[in-house]
Amino acid sequence: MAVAQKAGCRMAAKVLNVVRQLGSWLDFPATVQAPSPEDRAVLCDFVLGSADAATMARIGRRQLTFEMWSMILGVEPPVIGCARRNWKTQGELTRLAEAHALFKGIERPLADDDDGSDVLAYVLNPKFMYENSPDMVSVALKVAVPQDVVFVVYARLNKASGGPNGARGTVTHWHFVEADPAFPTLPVDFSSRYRTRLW
Amino acid sequence: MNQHIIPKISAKYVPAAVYLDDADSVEYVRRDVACVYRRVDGILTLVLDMETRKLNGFRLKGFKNFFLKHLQPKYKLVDDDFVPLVSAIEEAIQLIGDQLMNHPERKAAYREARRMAHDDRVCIEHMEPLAA
Repeated sequence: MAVAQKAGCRMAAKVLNVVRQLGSWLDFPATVQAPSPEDRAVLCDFVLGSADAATMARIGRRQLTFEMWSMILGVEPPVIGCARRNWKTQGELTRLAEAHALFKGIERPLADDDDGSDVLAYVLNPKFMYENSPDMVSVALKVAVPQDVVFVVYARLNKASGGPNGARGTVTHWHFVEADPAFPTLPVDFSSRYRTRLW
Repeated sequence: MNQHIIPKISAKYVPAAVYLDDADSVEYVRRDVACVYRRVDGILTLVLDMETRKLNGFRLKGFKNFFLKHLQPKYKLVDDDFVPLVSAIEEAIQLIGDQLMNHPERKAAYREARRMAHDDRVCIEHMEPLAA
């Protein structure tokens, strides 16, 4: 009886572990650090919005979530076989804390913000990322980022000072945009795309 | 996050438009690959395949406001209806109107997005977050 119970416990633990692993690629940290809008040398916290990643996961979209893991959090996506498939590809990942430019105001409405004036746009210049490329070992492949694009992470500032856990706002979305030909570390048309450059 | 709604990592992508609440945008892509987002204006962004730079989808931004002000009253939509995105793009074109005449690239971008929405019969469903 005791043996059967032990076997049952082991099986349950295995099942629970599998369930945890299935969801771990959507188990984001609650907050992420970014340079402060006022002083880039000082880090502050932003809530990491996870609702949209869950929405995309429901239709099987992984790419934007892999971008979040590898260029905002700076770690490989926690998916099965990822380390094994990519161990040969050397190269540092990027974190939001390493943003080199920050703009404010996106010149379009975002939810309750009629003109996007409370939206920040952090600019990063990642060298490597993970992309959705399923094979027998893993769904994530580490690849070099083309040199003619930059990665922009958008965050909505809290209206009142001090959000949950002291966060300044919420990271809402992120994507690659083409780099400006004259200023290759900044987004194309940055002067008309955003209202002001903070640093 | 409820474990029972989390799909397997191996789940295959089925092209579908989704409303992204945090980004306040509707996005549709044909293939789940790395992309570059090319801003057209405050409403439309084209989504290009990063490798080929060919059109892979589009994003309609500020969608909640646009839906409540322009789409819902016109089409008398309720929560469980679906909206063909070709109608949403046509509504946006009407809204912008004459501005497109002076910007051929912008006009072409709207045409491309409209064609994809039409050809792929792209619809947005589950509009409860929008109606809130």
